[in-house]
Amino acid sequence: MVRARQRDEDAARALFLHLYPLVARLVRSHLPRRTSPEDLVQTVFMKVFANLDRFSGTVPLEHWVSRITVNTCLNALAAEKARPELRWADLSEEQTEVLEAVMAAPGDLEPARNLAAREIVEKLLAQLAPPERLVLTLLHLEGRSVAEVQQITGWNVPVIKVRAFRARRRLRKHYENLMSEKSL
Amino acid sequence: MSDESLQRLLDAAAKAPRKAVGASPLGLETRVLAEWRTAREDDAPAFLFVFLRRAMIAACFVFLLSAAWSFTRPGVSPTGEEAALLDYQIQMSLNP
Repeated sequence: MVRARQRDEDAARALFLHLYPLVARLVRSHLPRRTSPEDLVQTVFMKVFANLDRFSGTVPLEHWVSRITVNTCLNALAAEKARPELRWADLSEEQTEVLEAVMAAPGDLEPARNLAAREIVEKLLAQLAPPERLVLTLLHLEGRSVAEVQQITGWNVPVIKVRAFRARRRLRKHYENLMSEKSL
Repeated sequence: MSDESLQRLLDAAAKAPRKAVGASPLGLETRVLAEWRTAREDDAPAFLFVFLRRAMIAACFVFLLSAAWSFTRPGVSPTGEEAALLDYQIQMSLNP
């Protein structure tokens, strides 16, 4: 860190290699539809390097970088103004089968269908506002605790809980709209 | 009912395998470091701009402080008193 602050290129390279998996994982989870993950990773690293002098060391470096990454992704998602409505006709055959299976019987889906379920959830989440999408992805898809979400986003616990509650309610509404199209 | 099925959908989605994050793509590291280098070179004018801006703010602050100080002490102007005395003496010499 110290050497990178002094503009040592080898140190900057080492820092990049150390932080790349963390940044890439977060970017991939919260990527806007029309943005290249590489471009977003590059933007994140430029922000990290430009603000190295501001890193106080009061929080772990990984948390600080996570917050920069998440905020960059949120900004990119916010810039993407159109949030297309998901229609039943937009789903693939496998995805419609997954939704029918989910509605029909309680219990877990076949593991082979988990990927299709993920695709549907990502499409449903794409209809939500960026912070709502982020909080649901972290809590429900990545299985993170509220404390972890707090570390990653910098939001306080009541904000996280309220956002998660509202996001969940909106997601359910979109899901119900989608399912009502099926019955038509 | 819809909440339960939505939860099942979310649970299934959470179990979906994720692509492992491997090494950075070819060229990304070079791109990032090149941009960092360019930004570093652009830093000098930026530093100068920041310095000049701060110097201007400091100068304005000093100006305002001195103006405020002079307004709070209006009666103690030795130059004014001397001028009044001289004016009085001139008047007296012209019209005794």
